[in-house]
Amino acid sequence: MSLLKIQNLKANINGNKILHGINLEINPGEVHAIMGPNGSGKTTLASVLAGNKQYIVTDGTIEFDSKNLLEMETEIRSREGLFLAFQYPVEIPGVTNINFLRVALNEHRKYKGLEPYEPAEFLKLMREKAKIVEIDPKFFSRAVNEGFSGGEKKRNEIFQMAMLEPKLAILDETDSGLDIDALRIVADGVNALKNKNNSFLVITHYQRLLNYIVPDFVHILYKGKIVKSGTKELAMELEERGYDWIKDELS
Amino acid sequence: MSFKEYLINNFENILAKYNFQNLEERRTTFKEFEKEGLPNLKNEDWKYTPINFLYNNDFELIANPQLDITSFTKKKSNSYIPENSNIFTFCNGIFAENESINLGDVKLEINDDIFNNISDNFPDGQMKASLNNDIFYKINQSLAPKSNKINIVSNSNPTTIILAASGETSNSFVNSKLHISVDKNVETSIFIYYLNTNQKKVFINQLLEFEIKENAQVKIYMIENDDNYLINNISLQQLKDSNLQFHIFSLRGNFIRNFIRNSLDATGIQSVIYGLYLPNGNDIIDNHILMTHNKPNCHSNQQLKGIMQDKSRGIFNGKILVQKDAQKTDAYQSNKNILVTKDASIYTKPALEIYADDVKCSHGATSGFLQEEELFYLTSRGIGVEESKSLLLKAFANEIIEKVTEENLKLWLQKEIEILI
Ligand SMILES: Nc1ncnc2c1ncn2[C@@H]1O[C@H](COP(=O)(O)OP(=O)(O)O)[C@@H](O)[C@H]1O
Ligand SMILES: [Mg+2]
Repeated sequence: MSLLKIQNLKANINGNKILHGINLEINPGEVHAIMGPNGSGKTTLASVLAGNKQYIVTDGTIEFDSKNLLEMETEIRSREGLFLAFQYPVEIPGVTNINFLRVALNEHRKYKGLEPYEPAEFLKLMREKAKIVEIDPKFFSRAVNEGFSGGEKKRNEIFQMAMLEPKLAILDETDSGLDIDALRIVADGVNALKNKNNSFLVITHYQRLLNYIVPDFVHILYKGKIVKSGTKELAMELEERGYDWIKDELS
Repeated sequence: MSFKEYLINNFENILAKYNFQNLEERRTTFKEFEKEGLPNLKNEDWKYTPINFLYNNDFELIANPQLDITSFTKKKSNSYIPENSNIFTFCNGIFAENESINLGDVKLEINDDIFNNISDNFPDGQMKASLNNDIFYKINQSLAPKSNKINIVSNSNPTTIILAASGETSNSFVNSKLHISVDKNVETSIFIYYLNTNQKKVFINQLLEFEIKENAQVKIYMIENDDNYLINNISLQQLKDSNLQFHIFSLRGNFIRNFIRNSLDATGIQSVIYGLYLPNGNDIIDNHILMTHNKPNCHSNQQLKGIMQDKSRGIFNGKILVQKDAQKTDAYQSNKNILVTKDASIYTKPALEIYADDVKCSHGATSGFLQEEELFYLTSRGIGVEESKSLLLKAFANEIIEKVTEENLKLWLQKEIEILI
């Protein structure tokens, strides 16, 4: 049974029609990549999945783990196991990483009927997960993303993902703006968390990241529609021939 | 009957009933009030601060102590009082000796000399005029029972001042005058509370004076934490090389008007005001500040933040006034507000008035709702909307609470904020 099933999804922002009927199915354990030129609707799709109310869904259905995703509030989607690594992570002045994650994880636990973490137990977990993405524990007491470099913000997203252990993680251009070392840290983090039950939707503009996180399927999003799907060879072809190839093919 | 009519009809009776002294001066001052009446929205200083609670008077003036000990004890124990603190309690403007502890180092002087004011020492000009034209100052001068003076003479234990108001049978209107002076070179902390130990409403019209002498290092923590109607005229004078940190937390109160007038009357002074206000319901909270730099080489900073919940209304009107002599002044001011609901409102007016040419001054104000982006980010991690809002608001408030160096007070404040947000 599929983990995520999107059918004929259409969405608007500020009255602009952006998504024009997306169909996509992801099974547990699969890695899907979505590629597409700037402005094609990648972030819109990710935002709709996460429940950002700025985006209005006008048609279609989304099933997540056999439940109607569109009926769930953002926080419920998270507790049900959906995670979005933001293209532009938000700075939260005054809220420390440790406090933020403690509250978030305990809300997840409460949802599952579990007791909150003991402080020591929680700190231990944070230390373990921080290692995966090479985050210095000094970061724990700093405000979320405040004053972080671009690369630090992206790593912090993967760190949060590692803490929350989602069923489906959507990475929205987590690779953009990263140098090769940071890219490897992010990719290693993802690979360390990958197992046969969880899935990834990796949104990227470049093929580069897919050398490290190898996708099972690649989709090309263009003007709000998936215009081509294939395996990782499609990403290679796109890299070689550029997006103009798709545009020409469609016109 | 309006509040004004009530006072006019009862003025002579009150003078006689409480055996007030300085009758002629009181009468002259009261005449001015009688002529001008209560301020209304046409008055620039009251433009956004409606005093509806006085339209139909249901207060009775009380000028003798009627402390309800049970209520007082309970409220006192809910307040943060540091260990080994001097405690000076005043009820309805009168010293309450039984509820006070003097560990030494503090001199108390009580007399009838209420027309001897710190503002007499201020240089002529805006500062003096602003106070002298204040109607509630005039009412206080006509009706405060006593002149209470506390003088901190040596490096001492902290001092807690409890300004209680109480009436046995009616809503009470209380005028209270207190002068606090900190002597040369003294380093000390002062904690101030306003408590309503009445079963009913109280309206406190307070005149509070601080004289911070040469090289004194003073921290004042003012905590407004009771359902009062409070008009709080605070006059400060700082002398050479003194250093003041004034923290003001308006946590609870139906109506609070703080007017802080600080006169920096010598060189080398540091003066910082940190304020946090958290009105809810229909509360009104007004902070007026007039920071006057009269001499060169002084530094001042005002940082006030407000979280406006429900239908509350906030007013901030802060001015930095730099006089001609005050070269090399370094003065800052910032006021930031979050409106939690669409029904809450804030009127903020920061102002600079500068007559010296070699100064560094800046000011700024912001008001707005919680950031949707931030809320989305938090909820996308599984944190509920209400919890997310509360995290953001607490973080906003914490910036001011963090300035408190008294660790236990900080914890106490964080607990109170937990209840309020
Ligand atoms: N807030 C907005 N208001 C109006 N249009 C928007 C807004 N945000 C994005 N868009 C438009 O939606 C389209 C898709 O944007 P986006 O999903 O961010 O693309 P991508 O992530 O693929 O670069 C673009 O044409 C963009 O201009
Ligand atoms: Mg994008």
